[in-house]
Amino acid sequence: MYKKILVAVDGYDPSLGAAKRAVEMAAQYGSQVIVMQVEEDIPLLEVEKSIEEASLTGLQHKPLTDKPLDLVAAYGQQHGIKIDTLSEKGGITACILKVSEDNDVDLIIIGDSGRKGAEKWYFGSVAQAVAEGARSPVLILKKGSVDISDMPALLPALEESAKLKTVKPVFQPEVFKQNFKFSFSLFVAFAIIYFGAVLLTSAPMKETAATIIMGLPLAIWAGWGTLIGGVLITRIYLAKSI
Amino acid sequence: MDNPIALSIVALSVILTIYISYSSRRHTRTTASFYVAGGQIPWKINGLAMLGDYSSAASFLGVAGAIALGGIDGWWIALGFFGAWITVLLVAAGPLKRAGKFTIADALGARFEGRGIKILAMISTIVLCTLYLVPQIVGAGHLFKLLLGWNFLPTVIATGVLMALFVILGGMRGTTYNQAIQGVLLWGAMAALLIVSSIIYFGGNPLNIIDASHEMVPPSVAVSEASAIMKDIGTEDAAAVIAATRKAMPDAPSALTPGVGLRDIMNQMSLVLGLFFGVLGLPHILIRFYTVQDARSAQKSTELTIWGLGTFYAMVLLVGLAAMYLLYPTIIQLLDEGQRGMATNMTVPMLGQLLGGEIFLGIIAAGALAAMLSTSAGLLISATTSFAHDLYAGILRPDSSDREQLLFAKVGAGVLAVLAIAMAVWLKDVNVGMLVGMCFGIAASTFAPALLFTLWWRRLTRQGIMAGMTVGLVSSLLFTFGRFFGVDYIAGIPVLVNPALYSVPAAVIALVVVTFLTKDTGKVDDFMAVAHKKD
Repeated sequence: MYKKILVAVDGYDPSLGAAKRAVEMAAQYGSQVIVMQVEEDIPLLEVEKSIEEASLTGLQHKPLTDKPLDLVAAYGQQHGIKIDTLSEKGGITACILKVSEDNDVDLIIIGDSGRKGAEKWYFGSVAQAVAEGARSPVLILKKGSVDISDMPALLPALEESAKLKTVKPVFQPEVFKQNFKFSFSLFVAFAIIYFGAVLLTSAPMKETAATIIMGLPLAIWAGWGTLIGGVLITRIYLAKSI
Repeated sequence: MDNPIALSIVALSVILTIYISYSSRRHTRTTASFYVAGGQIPWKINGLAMLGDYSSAASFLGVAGAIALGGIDGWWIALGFFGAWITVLLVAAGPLKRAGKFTIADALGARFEGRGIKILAMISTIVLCTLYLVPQIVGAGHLFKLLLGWNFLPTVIATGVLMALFVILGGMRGTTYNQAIQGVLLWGAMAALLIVSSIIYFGGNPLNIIDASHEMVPPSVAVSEASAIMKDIGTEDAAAVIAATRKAMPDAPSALTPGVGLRDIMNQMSLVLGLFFGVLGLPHILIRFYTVQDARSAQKSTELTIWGLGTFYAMVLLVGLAAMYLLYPTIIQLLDEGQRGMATNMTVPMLGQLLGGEIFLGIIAAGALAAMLSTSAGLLISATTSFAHDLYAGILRPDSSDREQLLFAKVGAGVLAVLAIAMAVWLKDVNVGMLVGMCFGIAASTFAPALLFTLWWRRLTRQGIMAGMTVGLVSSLLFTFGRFFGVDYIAGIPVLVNPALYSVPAAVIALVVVTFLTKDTGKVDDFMAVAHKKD
């Protein structure tokens, strides 16, 4: 009936429910299952994203996993279904639609986050946008409509294998020394300019600071010198460090 | 309502800010077209956003006001902010970026696990957030007093409550584009103030402002003489008042004489030391540093920022002096009436009003308010996160649900806001730049040594950090509140404008001594391996 099913997951419960339903349907119809995850590529900082999540959703619902593709693949394997996984970067809705068209899928299954009110208005509903834009049929699963209580049991094994894969970096004393020399020689140079200017413009030196040089009191040259020195040292740092 | 046009501009800008932060977010999630905006932040926008993050209300309102009242000493607040940014770039940005840590708590936690440091970090975060909120609320209170013509007390309570509600209800997030707009607005307003005042009043040459400054007796020194003079010759002609005041006080210092505002070298050193190391204690300022993807773009955006900051802080001296000259009678009058807070914090908007009427006033007020709102939002969000994760879930009730944590955090943020509003009422006459300087002093005594030594000293121990942070926090708070309460000496030690001169060395000594007495260096090899790997 359905030859190719596309599921989009994000690590939150509703999307994992969607993946589970896809596995069930694949078992029934022999369909090919593609599970995709979109890393949102938006002009926001990591920190802004985390603040956004913390202030809106993060404190209320945490994702079940940050590696949903691995979890779903393991779940498929457990049930004898081979799953093709795909990781994309870009706008969420746009990516889902593009993959669905490129692969000519005949069903998209997607979870509905169940966001309400201001949150829904702010984030917009991806499920709704996909349903509107897709050429193939779209199955939207409401939050809580699929029981995924059998999924978390797979997580510890995944974490174990991820741990084995990570390589520990080794401390390199010579790199440390090099970094130290570079950072602190520039820092000391700037500190000398800065604190030198501070002393020059402090109350005990006010006679000196008032000396007129090229039409301006020394106090002003000291301040401008600090600004110019700072810009120059920053430029040296940038040129060498990046 | 005194200034309907200016108020409308402020309201429009707030609405625009909210619109940008909301619509851009929704757009990138739900739009079906693949090739729309999105992707990485362009380097120009990133550079301007860094500028916007940094040119806060303190830089924009506080520095020029301090210069207009006390002369060139006030400039050191600006030069200190500038120096602090470079300090963070040189000694912290690189290792933090390599380790992938952009907040201090994360960096400390990456090397030292366990509760003790977490608790200290949480207390310091909450203290700093509360105290840092005070200048934002003081500034906003004076701003709306100027715009609406209300008394300070109802204004500051109303604005403080509104700001807090706005943030606690999750209304405002500083997005990159908003920060970039704010950077352009504040820099542009400063440049416009300088250019317009030079053209209208100083023969088109900004350096004439400095020539005129030799004659001026700073208002903070001249207030009684000058107000007597103004009773005779009126307040219309600023130049005449300045000349008559100088005649009456021939030996008084000029606006370019160092040492007027800060009295002596101890105070000067304490202020500049606190400022120099303060931002190291608040490195969220630098979260934008390496967000553009390729190295060349990162370099270009940082360079844009440093030029922006350098020129901004060079202009602020001239704008402050021009404000002293052009608003001389107004400032004297405000000081004479005991409205010091208004005089020192509202010089920039008042200068704008004088030069460009209500429209200019409105633009300046909008820029300043945007800066205060985004800073307050950042602070309350950090405090909220700290309450929820570190205090409630980490210590008080580890088995609590997420919903309970969120509720606790929001109530906690509300309590902080009330505390900050009360302190704002109390400290309304202090210059916002000086208030921010005190927060820098506390940060320089707590997080700054902890971070610096964590990044660069292998021998550092867990107990060393804890001792350093505790000593730094207690001593800096003692001398900060000593200053607020007007105490002259604590245990025979003179109280200065900033706690840093005592509390920074005290914290460093405690950290080093305790480190040599103890052994737990944390996961030092793992941490140093990532913080100092080859790029």
